[in-house]
Amino acid sequence: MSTALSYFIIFCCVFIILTWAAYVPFRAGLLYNGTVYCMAIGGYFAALASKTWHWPFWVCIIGAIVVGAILGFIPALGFSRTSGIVTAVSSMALIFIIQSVIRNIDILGAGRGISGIPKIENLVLYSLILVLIVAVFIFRLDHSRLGRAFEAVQTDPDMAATLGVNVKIISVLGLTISSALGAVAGAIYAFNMRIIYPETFGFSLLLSVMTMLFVGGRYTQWGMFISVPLLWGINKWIPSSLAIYAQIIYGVILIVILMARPEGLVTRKMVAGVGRVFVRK
Amino acid sequence: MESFIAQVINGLATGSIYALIVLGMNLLVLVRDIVHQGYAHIIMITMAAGWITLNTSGGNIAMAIAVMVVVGVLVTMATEPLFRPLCKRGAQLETIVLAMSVGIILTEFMSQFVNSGGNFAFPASMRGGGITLTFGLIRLSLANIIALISAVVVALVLLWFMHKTQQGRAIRAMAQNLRVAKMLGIPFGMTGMIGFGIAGFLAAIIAILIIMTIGTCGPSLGDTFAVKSVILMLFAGMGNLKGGLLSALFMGLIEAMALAYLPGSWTQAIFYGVIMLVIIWKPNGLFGTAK
Repeated sequence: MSTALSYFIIFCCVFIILTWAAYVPFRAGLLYNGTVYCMAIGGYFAALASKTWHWPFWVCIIGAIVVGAILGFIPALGFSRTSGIVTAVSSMALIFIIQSVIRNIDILGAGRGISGIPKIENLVLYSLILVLIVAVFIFRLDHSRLGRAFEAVQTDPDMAATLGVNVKIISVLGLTISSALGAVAGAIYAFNMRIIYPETFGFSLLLSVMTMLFVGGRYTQWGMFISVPLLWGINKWIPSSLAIYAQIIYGVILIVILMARPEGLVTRKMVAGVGRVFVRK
Repeated sequence: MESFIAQVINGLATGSIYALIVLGMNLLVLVRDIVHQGYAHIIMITMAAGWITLNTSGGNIAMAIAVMVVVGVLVTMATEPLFRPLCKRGAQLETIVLAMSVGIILTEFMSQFVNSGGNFAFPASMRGGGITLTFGLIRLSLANIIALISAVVVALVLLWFMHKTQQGRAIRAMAQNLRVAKMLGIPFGMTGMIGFGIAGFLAAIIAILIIMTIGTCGPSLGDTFAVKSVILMLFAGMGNLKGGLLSALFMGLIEAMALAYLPGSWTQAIFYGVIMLVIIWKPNGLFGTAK
């Protein structure tokens, strides 16, 4: 397999998991901009663990999940008090905080970043396995009692509370799961790039994730499989003279989708239709 | 002590710019119930338009100002139709993402087409001539004082407009209850356009004040001001005009003090951390009222 193709596949896996990390809190009616913050945590943890402590790949991933969940749980406790627009905007501040903290800690490489992260053989296979595991996890989450509770909170928090759903616990849980998934994406990203900078985890990354989520369709988990390869590989589909305007194209696509097809490309009806083909009545 | 007083004035001048940005954003909150992150980026584009005009017309300040006003008003009004379908459905979370993408498009536009992405400085003639006033041992730049005074005047005029004129009352009525306002015959589209137009005019004034006090502009200016002012707006309470003014002035003061007396590298983390804690502690803002 050529290097370019394996890079492409691994990045698609990273962004699919990252977009799912933004999808889970959205199920509970929260627009969480802290996914990039969790990705930074996961990436830096994996880089440090594999380079300095020589941990193997899967232990690094599990460690990143644990650290990401813990560091995501702490702000989640705060955000469970707020709702809607306030969560969306104040979680943006997390991006600035993590960037500024990384720049000031010398063991994390400060502004220089960490380079020389060990190379992992079979990273394509490993990342595909991780995508599969996360897909099954989210599918089970969506179709469980907990998933229906998420749905109820998204539709109407007050009604959910009268039905006996603890809204605060649901939102804390959603944000914590999202943080763990973001950390996984960050860890794969670090192993793929083998060098990691604080500047990576900024606003343009956030815009990419949000575009992928909203273009793919944020009411089902399957839209990401269409939107991520389409948008991440945008340099491959458009003429190379336009490639430097990729960010502008992202923004325009996002605005057009939000205005014209607010549910995204893949809607629930489509998923139900596809499901009916396979299930005999 | 003298340097302390000078720092206070400088802090108030920065704070007054924050205050005007927060005022403009609050106006849009009242008009359409949106958090318009891209507003700071519109200010940035307006400054760029002024700079280009200055360069091509050979330093004609009056013409530059006229172009800036036109660009500010037109770009702000051009964003209104984008938000309209989402506002009609009451999809507030989506409007944040939309405003964010407007901001990124403008930033990218700046870094591709204006001065090939580099920072640029404005000539001294546009910055109040760099005159400093000396009171005893206190030295103040004229530009800062002009910025402070004009910010106060603009804020007072806007508050008068919102509370005493018919259009201002219409905007506030739409913010209170959209359906009742429509029933009483307030046009949804027209009032929104007027609100966006006023916000655009305000953007041009802010751009001129930033040119006078800071004097440089670049593609990163939009993001810096956008996040700070959106967070300040939440800090004070959304749609609260007077609270926004007070907290922005206060924050400018704190920032100037921190820059002068604290070691620099941790300032950003502390600034955002403290504001986030306050927002979590009081989700409706310090001056907000429970809905």
